[in-house]
Amino acid sequence: MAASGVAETLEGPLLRVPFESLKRAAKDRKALIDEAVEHVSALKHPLGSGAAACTPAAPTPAADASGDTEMADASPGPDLASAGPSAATTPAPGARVATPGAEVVPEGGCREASIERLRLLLSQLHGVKRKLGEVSRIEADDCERVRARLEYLSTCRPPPSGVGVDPNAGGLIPWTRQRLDLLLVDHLLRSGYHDTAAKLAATARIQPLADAHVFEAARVVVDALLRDHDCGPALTWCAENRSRLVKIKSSLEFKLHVQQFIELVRREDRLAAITYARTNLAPWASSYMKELQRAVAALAFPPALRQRCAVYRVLFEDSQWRALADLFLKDLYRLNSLTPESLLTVHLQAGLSALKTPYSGEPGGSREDPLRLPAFRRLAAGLPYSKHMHSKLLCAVTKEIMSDANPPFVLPNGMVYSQKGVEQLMAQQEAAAGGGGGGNGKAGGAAGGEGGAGGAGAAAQAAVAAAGAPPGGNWGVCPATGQVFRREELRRAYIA
Amino acid sequence: MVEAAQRELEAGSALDPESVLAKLQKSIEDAGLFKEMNSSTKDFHSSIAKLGKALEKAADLDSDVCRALRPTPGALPSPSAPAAPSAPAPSTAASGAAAAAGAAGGPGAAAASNGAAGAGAGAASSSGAGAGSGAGAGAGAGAAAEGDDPGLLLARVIAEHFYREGRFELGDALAAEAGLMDGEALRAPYAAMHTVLEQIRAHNLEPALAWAVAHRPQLSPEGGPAAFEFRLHSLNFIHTLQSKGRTAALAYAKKHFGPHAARHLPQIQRLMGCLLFADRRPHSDDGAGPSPAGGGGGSFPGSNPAAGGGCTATAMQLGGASSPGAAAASASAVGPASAAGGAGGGGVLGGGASGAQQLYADLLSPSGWDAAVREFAKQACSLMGQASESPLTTVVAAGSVALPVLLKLAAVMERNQQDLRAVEQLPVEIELGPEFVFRSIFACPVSRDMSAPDNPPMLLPCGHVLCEQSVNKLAKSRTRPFKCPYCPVEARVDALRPLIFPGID
Repeated sequence: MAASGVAETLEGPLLRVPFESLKRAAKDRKALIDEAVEHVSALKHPLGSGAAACTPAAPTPAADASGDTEMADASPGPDLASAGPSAATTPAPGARVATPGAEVVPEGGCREASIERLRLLLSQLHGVKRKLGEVSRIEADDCERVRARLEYLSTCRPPPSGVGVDPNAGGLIPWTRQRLDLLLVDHLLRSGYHDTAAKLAATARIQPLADAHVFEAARVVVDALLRDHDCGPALTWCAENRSRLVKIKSSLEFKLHVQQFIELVRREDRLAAITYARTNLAPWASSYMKELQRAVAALAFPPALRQRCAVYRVLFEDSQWRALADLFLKDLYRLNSLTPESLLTVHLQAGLSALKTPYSGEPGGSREDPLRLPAFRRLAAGLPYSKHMHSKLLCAVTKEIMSDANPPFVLPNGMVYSQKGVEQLMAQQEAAAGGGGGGNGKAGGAAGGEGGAGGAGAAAQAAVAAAGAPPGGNWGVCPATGQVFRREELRRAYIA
Repeated sequence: MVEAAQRELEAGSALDPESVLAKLQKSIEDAGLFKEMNSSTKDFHSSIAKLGKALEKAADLDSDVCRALRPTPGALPSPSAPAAPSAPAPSTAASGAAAAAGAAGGPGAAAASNGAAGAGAGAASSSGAGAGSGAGAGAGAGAAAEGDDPGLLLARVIAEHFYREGRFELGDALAAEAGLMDGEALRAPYAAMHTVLEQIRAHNLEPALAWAVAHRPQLSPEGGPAAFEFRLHSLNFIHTLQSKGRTAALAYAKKHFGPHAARHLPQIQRLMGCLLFADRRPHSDDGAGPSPAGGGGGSFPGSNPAAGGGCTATAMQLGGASSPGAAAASASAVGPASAAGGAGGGGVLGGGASGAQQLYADLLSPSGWDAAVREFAKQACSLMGQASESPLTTVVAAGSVALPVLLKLAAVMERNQQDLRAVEQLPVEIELGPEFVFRSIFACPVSRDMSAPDNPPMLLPCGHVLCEQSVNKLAKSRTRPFKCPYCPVEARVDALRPLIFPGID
């Protein structure tokens, strides 16, 4: 895999989030400008032909009702205030705009009507201006984020991966150390640990690289759902993002309404529940008939009976809140082009299965192996094992990987060490033998390297030295078994 | 403009409101504001599209990195899954904690158990691992809660990662937010380590040296001061040289280097060489000035004999501590060095000295501190029986190598109506690199299977190695010879020897 390949696939989400957001903001800007043009050009048509003015105006806003609905809801314009956030039936704003003017004509004088129209226009343009300001702010933020991330990516190149790379020279681990903080911030935010995430982003100075702003609003919504069992903030969020939620066919809003309805049933407030169902559930009948019927049928069950029927019991369980929160987060991630799962989880799973062997956790592995730790083994549960078609041999003496340059050698007892390893073992004995005259303690000290092996080696050496030492450098002691081996007994092994 | 028109209307000056409106509309259009906005927006959109294309080229924006993701194992709704591991889980967790505490050595273990006692719930997990009910109540509470929620298990791993890296504030914040019960126990083993690390970062090596002396037996099993201790001393020597000057550095060397001379004489000689060039930096900076040789020459002959003498004196002093042979070597090594110094003093100043300074650049560079921080963390963690790199970092690093491969694989398998998420073993080998090999893995070149206790690697007389099962398939009978698949040499099954790759730890 080429070095750039790693970054290409892994850093996509990092760039994608702000870029998609930027695209959306630019789209909103276009819609807003169109709207302003629409408002102004409405003046062109004389009041007398109010109805005529209304007709050509109507289709356009309806066509991009996506943008307009949100705006109508948020707009503080005096004439639109009555529309309120319950704009479920979405009367096209263009039509509404024209209506007051048209009504005024027959009654009042022309002048009042014109003034009225101008006032309306003024408030509309103010609204557009305010929203354009917001869009500009979002655009600027997103541009800044894209820039920061590109800069980060250009300074933080992944090392050429895999084979034959010096692990010390700016290798994978240092690169990961930089990236890990980003992954952690993302994961902490998703897990709802906002304070820790904020602290981490601040200490690592990676705020522009993290998408904390996406989660700011989410925090309120999720807290309300889980802690207060309150759908209010979630429904508000749905209203603000309705057009885009419709586009991804989200069932979130419907499910929230069902939950509200169930809460009314739980309180035995049947009348209110029925009213609520009529206004808020009925519009969804076409898409969610089955769920709708089941929810409404819950009305018929008295509390005791509900417990007995699993289908309806579920509706009243507390776990529904968790499910709603999860659904909300899922939609939130989708709307913001975030990956559905935390990137940390993705990396962990890939890494764990690449490292997992059937023998992970058994003795004999290096202490550097993360899968030695019970916590990591539990994380790796259910993941596939890695496949090894090529041998990778670690020398127990040098802790280095054996290769053609440092090939494996077999001792008479079947133990395999690298060439460097056996040379080291024999050199230890030579050094020990050389200093042997000076005293055993010092000889043991000189036999550097292996911890337990040193002791075993010293003991064996002392025994052999007493019997008359062989020529130095031609024999050694196997650190695993303490058995003595001679140079001529070593066998080179060829391992493909 | 709109306001002006409104005022006009309100004032009643206009006779025909309709025409005023029309006029207003026309003037707004004439102002061209909308046209301008439209065109600028269009430009904006096209530049965004360009940016998008560029990004597309640089990174795969649409890559679905979750394609190969399995649902988090703990979250599986199957009732048997949580039941089965819940029994062994507390015990492994408890023994793991106990092992960690035990391996931390005297004070470390005490601190760990103190911390655990403070945590209450965690106490049983480390001290009462043997007591069935205790472990059930304590570790069970912690581990079972985590077993239910893989999110908490991961949070615990992340918190430990923070503690390991010395970001205590973050670890504490996470433990509080995630409601980890054993946050204290997680933190305790690293507490001592990190006060030391803080001091190293503040260029104070005393605590690190004290730690190295206290742990001499573990750091250097063959007795005597450890190599790590010497590296700390040499860093301190350089620091003294740079901050307090030559005399102090010399005094430091005399005081501390003696015991290390037996093992690190060449390095000590190099350090002594540093003495000569330590204050050369200002001079070489002045080098562009009109009289470099004069300025340098003025100071150098004066200081040089002192430094040379210092070297010799140190060598003498070291000689007393080490064997006579070593002293001779040091004397002979210092000889040329001081001779070179003398020559430098004689006149070949500027170029020669700065060249020599480059020789010592690695010793004088400030990166030594970062290296010391890293090495200390590594040593401290390995004394606690832990990996030198945070396991989370290791796994994520492995993941970033494996992920692109896995994603491609998932796509290919999807096309063939297979599901990567259901396999027991990955269908391809992922080459992670040497830093991720943690144990010897023997794969039979014939069957491509990993060796196992019941399928050990066998050494053929020719030196080639196959797994036992492959050998049995190749050989028709135990007594008849068969040909090695890689060379013409023949072998008999009963003459083969099983190989063992000794474990690393």
